[in-house]
Amino acid sequence: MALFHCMIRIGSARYGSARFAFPLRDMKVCIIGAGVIGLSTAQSIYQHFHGRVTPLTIEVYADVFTPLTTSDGAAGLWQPYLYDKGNVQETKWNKETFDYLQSFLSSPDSVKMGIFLQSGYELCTETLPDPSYKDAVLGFRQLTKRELDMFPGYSYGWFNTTIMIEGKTYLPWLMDWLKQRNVKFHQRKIGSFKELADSGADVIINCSGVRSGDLQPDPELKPGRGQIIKVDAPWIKHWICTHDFSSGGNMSYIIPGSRLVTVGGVFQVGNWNLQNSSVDHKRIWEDACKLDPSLQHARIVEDWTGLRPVRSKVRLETETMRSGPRAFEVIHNYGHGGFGLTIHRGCAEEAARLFGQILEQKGLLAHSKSRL
Amino acid sequence: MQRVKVLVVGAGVVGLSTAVCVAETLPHCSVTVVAEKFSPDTTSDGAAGILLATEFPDIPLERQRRWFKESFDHLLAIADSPQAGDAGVYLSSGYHVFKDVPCDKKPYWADLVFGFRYMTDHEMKRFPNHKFGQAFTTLKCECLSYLPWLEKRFRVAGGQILHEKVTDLHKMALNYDAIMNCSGVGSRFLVNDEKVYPVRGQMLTVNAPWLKKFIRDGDGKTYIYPGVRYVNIGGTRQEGDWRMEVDKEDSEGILERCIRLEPSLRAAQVMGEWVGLRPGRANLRVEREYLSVQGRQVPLVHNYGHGGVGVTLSWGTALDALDLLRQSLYEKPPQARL
Repeated sequence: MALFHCMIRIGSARYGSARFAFPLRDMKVCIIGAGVIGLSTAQSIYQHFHGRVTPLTIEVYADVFTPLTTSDGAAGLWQPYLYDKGNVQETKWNKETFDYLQSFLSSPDSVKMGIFLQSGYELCTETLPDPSYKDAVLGFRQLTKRELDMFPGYSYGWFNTTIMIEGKTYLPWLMDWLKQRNVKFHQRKIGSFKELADSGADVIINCSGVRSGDLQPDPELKPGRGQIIKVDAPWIKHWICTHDFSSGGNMSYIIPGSRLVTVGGVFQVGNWNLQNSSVDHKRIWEDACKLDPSLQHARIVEDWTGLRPVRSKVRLETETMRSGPRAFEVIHNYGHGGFGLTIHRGCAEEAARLFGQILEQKGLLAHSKSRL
Repeated sequence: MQRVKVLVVGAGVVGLSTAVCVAETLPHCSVTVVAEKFSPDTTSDGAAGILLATEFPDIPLERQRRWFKESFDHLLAIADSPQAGDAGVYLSSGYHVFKDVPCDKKPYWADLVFGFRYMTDHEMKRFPNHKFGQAFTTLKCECLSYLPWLEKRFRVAGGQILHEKVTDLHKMALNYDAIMNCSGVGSRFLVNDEKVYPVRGQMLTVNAPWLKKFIRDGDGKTYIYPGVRYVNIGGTRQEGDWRMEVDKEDSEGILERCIRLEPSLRAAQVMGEWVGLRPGRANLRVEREYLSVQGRQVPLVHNYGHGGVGVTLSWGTALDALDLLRQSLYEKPPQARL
């Protein structure tokens, strides 16, 4: 250890005027959760602090990885909830994510990232105010009467073009990106923040989604059970989402992916059951066939159930904890409900900003003028 | 009542549409489709089948509009039914971009498709070589599925199929009471119509399932049309060119131009190449004449010359052809008039 310090001192002497940030020991960041939130947070932290904090060790701990995470099952439609109910931060993070993804659409990586544009119909049973994201998406407009005639039962709606992010492709792309930069992955269920702190974590980032309550009770966090049917119907090229506030959140949708079409859905708050329900299947299927009769002759491939991490608002904040005499920081980044893919980048960047604040407070991040 | 024997020459989208119209509407007619080529070997099979149209100079616009509307409504009903997947008919949205602002910014069919609007400046940023664009939702009708689906419908209506190359209409007229000529570019030889000329089109099929929206260049030579399983990219418009072989230089040109419009195509695997000859003609021909055959006047209804808008106008022109046939069957032929 002393030798190490010696080397650091020699280093800073040799490189003279460049003011470098050298921690007195490893800065080890441990991320819990390998869904889109955990992986993208790891990416943002690497992008902002690799080279500014040396050595910076980033590790990801999770009991499930792609393709078994909640993010993998989601249809992958970039679409926030209609209204942000005052959570303007979330609207900002959503737009940041859209713009970020849009910047990759023409790049050679777009296909490997699993991102592409798709247009579609948002159907309402009544006239509604424009949604929070109308300026983020492309070509947003109201539906014409002739278009609405195609969807009996719906009297109002919008058309727009948004971005698809398929978890089953995006997550492997993120993992590759991180592995190439020496981020280590550990398959392990973490029992407590203390457990990680005691094994050397300086900062823990809690991206554990719906099961964050196992690490720290949070009465505001509840499962929002969703069930979907994957269908082979490649002639369907538009997504259809319905907004019917009388349906108790169980709103029908049809979202084509690059391979299969995702048909849903239900939104059962408080239901932890990960088993597919035949009752839900029947209702989902019947409603979807009413929306798009062409589904009736489509081949059903499989059902899937996932638990959205529902919360009144996203928990994205730093908490200082203790394990014995030692203090450590936990940055919480969970509770993204049904819009995790939609908001991931904005939240990852914010988490990275919070991490930067921790580094500054610890004096680990001098305002370095130059980097080597 | 004796059954009226109707022969439809040609089994492309126009021939089969015409045959179905007659077979389903005139139950006392016994309809036979005769053709050398059937799906998947017709010109229609390679067509992207996106419903949009260019104008014919000498046909009243109202008539062209009616053709478009009838075809669109007919196909929309299929798209909105359980048959959509089987028939290969579905909604398709996209961009129509122009390198120069066209004189006619709003085509006659603008209000017949869905949500027609001009592209915003923000949307045009993605196409730096283009100055103007239209965005709309139309229909795509994939003949590889639609033709077999039409054929099934035809047979259910009592239709018969004959695999034979027709070279002499007079000879066929010996055995039929009426003939409908839907022979496309073949009309050049079959009825000696020198106004018919091929417009050669080459197209590539690529595997790019992430592409959901079409992009077409207003000059008609570059387009990306997402099909049911594969994406059709093209193309060429070579007038007077009868070559049916694939031209490697054309393929390279198509890939280069399409990748410029849609960079993600770089990652797409080419699955196949195809060539077809659009039945070009200054104006589409839907009209009736009579063949004198052994003292009989046999009505000959023409329905050909659809150029690149065969699928787009197939049902509307079939209905017109049906009308002409119906008139012929219920009015006295010219020779008998006083």
